Amino acid sequence: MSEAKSSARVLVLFSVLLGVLAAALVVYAFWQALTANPENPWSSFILSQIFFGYRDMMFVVGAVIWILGTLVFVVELLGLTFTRRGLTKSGTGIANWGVIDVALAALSAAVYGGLLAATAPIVIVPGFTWLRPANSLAPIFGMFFGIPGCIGAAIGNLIADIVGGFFGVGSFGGFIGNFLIAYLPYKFVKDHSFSSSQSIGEFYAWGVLIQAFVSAVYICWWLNVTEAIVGLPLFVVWGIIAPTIFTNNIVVNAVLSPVLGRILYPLVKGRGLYWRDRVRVR
Amino acid sequence: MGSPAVVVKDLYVKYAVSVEWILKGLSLNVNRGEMLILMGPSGCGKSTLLYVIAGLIPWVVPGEVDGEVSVEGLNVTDLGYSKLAGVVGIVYQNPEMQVITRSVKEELAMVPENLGLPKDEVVSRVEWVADALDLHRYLDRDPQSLSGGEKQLIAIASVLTMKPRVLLLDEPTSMLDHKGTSLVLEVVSQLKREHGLTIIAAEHRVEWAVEVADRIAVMHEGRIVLIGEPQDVFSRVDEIEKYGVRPPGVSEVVYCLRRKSIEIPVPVRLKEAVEVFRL
Amino acid sequence: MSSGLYVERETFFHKLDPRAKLVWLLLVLVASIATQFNGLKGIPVFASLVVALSLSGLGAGLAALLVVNASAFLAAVTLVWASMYSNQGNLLFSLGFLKITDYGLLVALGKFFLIICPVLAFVVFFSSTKPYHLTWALERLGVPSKIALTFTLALNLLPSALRAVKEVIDAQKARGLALDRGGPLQRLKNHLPIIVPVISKLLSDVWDLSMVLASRFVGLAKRTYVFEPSWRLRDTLFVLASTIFYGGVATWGLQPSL
Ligand SMILES: Nc1ncnc2c1ncn2[C@@H]1O[C@H](COP(=O)(O)OP(=O)(O)OP(=O)(O)O)[C@@H](O)[C@H]1O
Ligand SMILES: [Mg+2]
Repeated sequence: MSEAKSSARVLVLFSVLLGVLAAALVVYAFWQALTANPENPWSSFILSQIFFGYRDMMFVVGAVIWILGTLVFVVELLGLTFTRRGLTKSGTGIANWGVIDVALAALSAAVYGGLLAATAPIVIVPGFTWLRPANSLAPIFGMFFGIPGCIGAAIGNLIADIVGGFFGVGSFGGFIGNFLIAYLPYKFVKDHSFSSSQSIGEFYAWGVLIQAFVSAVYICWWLNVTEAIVGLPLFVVWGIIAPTIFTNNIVVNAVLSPVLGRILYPLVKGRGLYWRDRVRVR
Repeated sequence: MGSPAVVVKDLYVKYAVSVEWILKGLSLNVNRGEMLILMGPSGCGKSTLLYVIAGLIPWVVPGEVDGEVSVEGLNVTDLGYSKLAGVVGIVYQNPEMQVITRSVKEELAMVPENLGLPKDEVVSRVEWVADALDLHRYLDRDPQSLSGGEKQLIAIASVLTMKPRVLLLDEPTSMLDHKGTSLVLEVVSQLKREHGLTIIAAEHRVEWAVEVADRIAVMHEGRIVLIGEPQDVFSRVDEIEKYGVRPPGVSEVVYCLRRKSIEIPVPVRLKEAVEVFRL
Repeated sequence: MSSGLYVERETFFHKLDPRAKLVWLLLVLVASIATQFNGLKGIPVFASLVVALSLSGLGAGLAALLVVNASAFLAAVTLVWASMYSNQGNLLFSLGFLKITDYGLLVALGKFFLIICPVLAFVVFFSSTKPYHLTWALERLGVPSKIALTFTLALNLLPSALRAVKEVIDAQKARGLALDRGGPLQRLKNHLPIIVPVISKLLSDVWDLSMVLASRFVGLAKRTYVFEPSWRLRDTLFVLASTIFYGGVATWGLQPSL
């Protein structure tokens, strides 16, 4: 028992370390690329080389992620969820939504969209790489508010696109992409309190590393297949946008989300808005 | 007077997240067409009481309700807010959260639309409320551009479109400036005068309350500790001050004089005060 | 910037039926796709959007503003396209490793229009279509009514959310918060005192809003729409004219050029 516990702790420590390390590495690698090749840092940036260099493989992986991600989105809206025993009823589908769920989703969306629109991104390369602090909220909304929070993140991102004046066919990828950013930690992190090492460790795995990869690939695969409609060349899609999303989601969520989560969890709990409490009440 | 419109008997209420009971054995009868004003310090449970009568606890806000609450003979706790269209309507404190569309017309049509009423019925209800509250000049405005008082007016109108028999008002003026407050209170007085609605309002503007209320109920720590006609309640200056309610200015002044053993009755309204001092 | 938010106005585009505008959106998309390899043929599409922007009361200047805001990105994207087609057509000039041909330039311009035209069309659509009609249209398109409602509710709540965020930012700045101090990681952390108060306001607003939605009987019955848009002659003519114009441009665009 205690042995299992201590090995779990080691695992947790390991994943926390991994999360922070990954964030630091990404920033460092990009800085290196920038100093080595200031005119065209992308050609030297390791992540660009990976995403773009292996774009055929990324395309296949992306197809799988896209199909799974979209399927999960639809299934969850229908009030079902995948478990080890197959598809089961979740009780959190659209049909089960009451006024609180609508209010939660709408307010999360308005606040997420508002924060994305009203806070200037931290620009690293003008026009290309930036950190958007508000992105730290998506996993938090998912973990605290459940499916309404995930929908809130998706709609909020859509609204930020509309308000910013770059809503288009490509925004569909960002819509479900942001749903998944919220959904992955909601579904796979067991303890959402951010107060145990297991909670934080699992968050770094699902809410940082996996989430960043999944959302980057989901969004870019969509841009890839809609190339003839959206008009972005593959080099830009896999060599610039994919590493940008990946970097942003790793760094922002590794640095801000656990701190935010730790501060906000007791407030959410105290207001009776944590999703597990609400699902049980019904 | 017939049977009361609202009956509350031995009511205990708490929220899912609260430890203690918020309402502790509260009982209250409100007659048809009566206007009752709830007063009491912050946190004494005024809003909680109104939420229960409106069928919101435990249906929207999770909590526990014990005791009997009926409105027009209907058990609201069992039925829940969704079955109470045409029975109870409630207006809240915050005007910003209560207008949620981008046009006043849409705002007023919202309730009958959501009830799925036929189109001509929706239109006639919007017309009716716009006539009743003189809102025609607002109909094409964007509610975002209205003042707080005007927004609150629209919120009241919006609730009236479901034709409630009992109207609940939860501190409708506490977030308004002076002008907005008069606008809203004027409309509430008019609703009582001309439409004979049963009204229960939490409101701390005493000078207004003494003019329009049929009865005043003073709440303290989840119970009603004092209830009666404004005259009776406010003349007990010591007692209500103990419960954290400020009496009307004129009552306070005269009360001070009485302490100096000048024997005069305690007035609660300005015109009574004028009478008193004419002596 | 809030270029895509609904603005109450009395313009031609505001008066159109949302369905007519959706058809128009689709036509713009088709014409942009059809002309993406020849920028010259894309010019009429772009010009039509400049006209649409002024006909919706936004002003043609918005197109310029959006292009300027995204200029670094757009310039790079068009350069990439131009260089990808540098082995076709006649060489115009070369900049180091970058070779630009006339053909490459045409493709680059076409792709530029493909990126920017649909985006501008959506800006026109969203700023001239009432959220009420948006919900109506989304429901007709098969979006579950609670999702459609959530979406428009969020749009309607956005102005007040933006106001709240700005208030918090101003208040924190007045207390000495400098968002752009320090390196990127520090600058990220500087945002905590903004995000936390905004979210705690959200938490208390949630209950207020749910009770308001409850007392408005939201989501209980099948909703009646009294202000349903009505299709007029104007809409038929607009759709016809658009079909002829964009259809013509698209056919022209698909013909082998040069
Ligand atoms: N949604 C809620 N969840 C948990 N506790 C609540 C909730 N709303 C109110 N309370 C608590 O219930 C008690 C009574 O609150 P209530 O809002 O009914 O008082 P009130 O008389 O309306 O006060 P005020 O004048 O401040 O509006 C308070 O202690 C408050 O903290
Ligand atoms: Mg209250």
